[in-house]
Amino acid sequence: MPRPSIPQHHLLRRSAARPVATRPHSRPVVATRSLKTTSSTYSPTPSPSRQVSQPSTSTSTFTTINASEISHFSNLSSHWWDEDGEFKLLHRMNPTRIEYIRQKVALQPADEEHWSFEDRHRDLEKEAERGSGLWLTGKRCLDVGCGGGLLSESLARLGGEIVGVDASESNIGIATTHAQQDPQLSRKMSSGELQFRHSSAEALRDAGEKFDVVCAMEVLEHVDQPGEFMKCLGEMVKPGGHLILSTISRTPLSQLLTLTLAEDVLRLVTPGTHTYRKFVKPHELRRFVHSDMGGYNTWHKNEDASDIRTDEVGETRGIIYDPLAGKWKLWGGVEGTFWKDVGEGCNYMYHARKRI
Amino acid sequence: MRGSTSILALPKASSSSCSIARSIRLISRETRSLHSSKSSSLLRSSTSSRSNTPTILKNGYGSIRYHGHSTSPAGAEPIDPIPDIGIENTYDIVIIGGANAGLALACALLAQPTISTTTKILLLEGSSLDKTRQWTGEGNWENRISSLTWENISWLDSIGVWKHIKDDRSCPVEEMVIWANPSPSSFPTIHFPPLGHPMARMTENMNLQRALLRRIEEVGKGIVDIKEGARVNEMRLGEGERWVGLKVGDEWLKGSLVVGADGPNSPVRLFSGIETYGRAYQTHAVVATLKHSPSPLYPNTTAFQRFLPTGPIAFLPLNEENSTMVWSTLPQHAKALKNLSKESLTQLVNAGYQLPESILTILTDQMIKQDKIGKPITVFEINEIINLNYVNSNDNVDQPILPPNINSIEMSSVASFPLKLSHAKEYLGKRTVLVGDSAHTIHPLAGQGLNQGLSDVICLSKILENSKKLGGDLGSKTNLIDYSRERYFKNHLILSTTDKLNYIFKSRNFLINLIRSNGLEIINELTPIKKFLMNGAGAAVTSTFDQTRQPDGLSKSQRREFGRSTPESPLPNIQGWQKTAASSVENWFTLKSVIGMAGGIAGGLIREGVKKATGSLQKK
Repeated sequence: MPRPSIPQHHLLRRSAARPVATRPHSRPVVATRSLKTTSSTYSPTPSPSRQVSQPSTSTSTFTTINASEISHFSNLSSHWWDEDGEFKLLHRMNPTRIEYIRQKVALQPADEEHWSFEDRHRDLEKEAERGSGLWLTGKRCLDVGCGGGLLSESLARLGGEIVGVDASESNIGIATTHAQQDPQLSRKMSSGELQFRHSSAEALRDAGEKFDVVCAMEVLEHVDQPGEFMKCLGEMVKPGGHLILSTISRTPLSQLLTLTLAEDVLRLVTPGTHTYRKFVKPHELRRFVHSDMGGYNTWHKNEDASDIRTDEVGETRGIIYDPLAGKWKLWGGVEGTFWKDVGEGCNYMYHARKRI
Repeated sequence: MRGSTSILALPKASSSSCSIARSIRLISRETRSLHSSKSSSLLRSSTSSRSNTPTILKNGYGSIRYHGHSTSPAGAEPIDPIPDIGIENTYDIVIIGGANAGLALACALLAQPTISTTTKILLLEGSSLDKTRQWTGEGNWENRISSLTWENISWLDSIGVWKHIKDDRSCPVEEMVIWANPSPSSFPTIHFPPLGHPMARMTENMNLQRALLRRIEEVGKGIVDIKEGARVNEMRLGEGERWVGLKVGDEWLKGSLVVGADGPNSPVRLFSGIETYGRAYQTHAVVATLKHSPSPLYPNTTAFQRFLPTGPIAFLPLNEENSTMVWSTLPQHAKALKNLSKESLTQLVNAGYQLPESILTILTDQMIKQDKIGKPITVFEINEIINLNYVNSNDNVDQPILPPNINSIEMSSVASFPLKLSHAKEYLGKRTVLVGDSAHTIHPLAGQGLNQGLSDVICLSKILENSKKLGGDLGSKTNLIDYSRERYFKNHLILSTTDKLNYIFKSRNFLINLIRSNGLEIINELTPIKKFLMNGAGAAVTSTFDQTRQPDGLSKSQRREFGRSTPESPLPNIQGWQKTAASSVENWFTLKSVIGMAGGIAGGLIREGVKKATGSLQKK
């Protein structure tokens, strides 16, 4: 097998170059791809020449969903809302993920007034004002891989119109039941502001649905053909909208923390939940969005990194668990520096904003 | 019984130090015997109260049951389902209890930008709040008075409550004097000099509650609903544990989060199944409003506290002519004090502040003995005992600074209540959270009870705001866990420190005596303990308000001015080894912080170095 020289192709390479059967938890995977993906909807994707080698059947039910992953999460679905159980770490992570979304969606630099030296002490105050209240009002959001609805419920409370999709029917059942028991959310369920659908991202894309905010939290590392999945998400973002992901990097650190410690030693997470080979590195993700999803014609540049990066789109930010405080924290640091990269060595968030 | 007879047989205290020492030893034996007899009766009462628990349950919240699936035991009588509850009766936060903590929480939540725009809050109070609303601040002082620390006052000001406080009914405390008088010749004293701002303000609870209520009525329209005179008959956890159903009168309400601000016997705590631990001090606190003539020289802004073997007696200023007393003492003594006539009580309170412990012991014994046979001690008898026992002490001995002489006492204000140390084992139940007295009760000697409650409220309001801003489910454990993480150990530290201080100051054990007589002088030079006694480790509010208005309370120049309150009564500056000990402890703290700082700088340098090294490696 030829060693791939350009790391940015990892996202595509996974299903094409390396057969899925080499996974330790190997299950046969149906990875089909529709030829009609770029036909109806807006697509900045350049000519997909390197994807020709993929096995392609001309069905309209293309999906990046991995059947064995779905059965794995279906088996765990009853634990979604146990705050001290299987998904404890995910529950703890939720406020931090939303804080990241708040920083990206509610506190847009474009909305800021002119900064003056005299007014410098009001920075924090202004930030608190802008991101308070129902800051998601009027925004249509998609939560891909909503699971038990952890993220969807929180986003719905913030005033957004939320669609949560999941490939597992039992997850959708849990999410629907749980939201209907909440005094506030049950109203949103009946008014259609919060919907849970047993569907796939590709089906939504094919139906021509568009969203202001597209979220896929901890999903990228569970799908087949993450490249196709990313393109599908990108197409559903409205102009001016946001694409926000969270996933895990492929480093020795993530091997140690998520696989060895969390799964095998401490058993905080059921072993087999994650597969090391499926993890995606931050720069691979950024480069893929640049090379295969339309680059700077479609997406805004990351202003913080504009001087050091000319072939990457979007911002990645590490998110680390502090076991003493029992909280996840967003990692800081300057783009392109050593410590910033260290912080992104395990879990990280990704954000890109589409041009209008 | 043996203890009391031996005290009666005690010869009149003479000037010989030997007999004083013996009398002190006898006192300690006496108190011990009282303790043991009382503790057995208390045990009995506690067991009886335990057997009464079901009735308390019934009186409080009726049957406390889970609604819906699983938890209801098989074979139990069928539960009527909770009827559908409309939107108008659905709340995000239900605060139970309309006293200080509950009202303060409502005000704190109103000051939070997200909560005040997106949340529906309900405040439930069992009795009517009209008495608070109609409080005019005229006439006699209430006997429920609390000390509010400067931090909490700043916070109340920043959320717009302090402007509603009736100013002339809130007295600043500029100085504080704490002393003991274990033998006639020694007065170990801690003196807290003025800081440039009041250390605290003595404020009637009514005054604070009215201000909080006015603030809620000012800005809370449509956000905070107040239901007064509304008793909760039943409480049940809703389907899927997503809400709590409350039956108020005949009406059902539901809330995502129920806050228990309902005092020491909290029904919310009972509903949540949270146990408390702690113990009753064998002590009752007697409170009374004291009247005295204004001092021609100094304003009445100094708080005094004297530690007697039976507990502390505090003198807290209210205005030029009024002050309040809190005398924590043995239950029998408290009972006897309450039965006294106005004149006798005045005389005894003066004695409590001024006389040596040996005479006080004789007075107290005589008083309890006469109270038992139904003949309260008279002024004449008191004076007789004092005159017989009083020995002019040596003029060379430094006199303590004493509170002004009391002229009379407002008899309607005399009351007593038992003191108890208790702490809930947890602050969080299923969709419930405890604040203030429902979570912890404390000995009043450090004046921390209300301030701790306010710190809880500040913390909880911030955490609720943050979780609401991030779309959290307000009642979920993930969102509330930060509250108990932040408050539990701080509260526990305050509770246990106060408890230990009480023990150390009360004890007349020979060894502790020796340590204390020097120890107080050392504490007088130590900042941390003084700081604790002054404003507690509680409320660490650092708003811009503090920074602009509050000068650094313990800046260097002021720290050097210890030990002198007025030019007329200079306190001795400590000398010799005590000074060495105090300054070496202080130096140790300084050294620690310097080492910490140096470590920080070194760490920064190393980090820079590593960064540069990796940078050059990458270039290569």
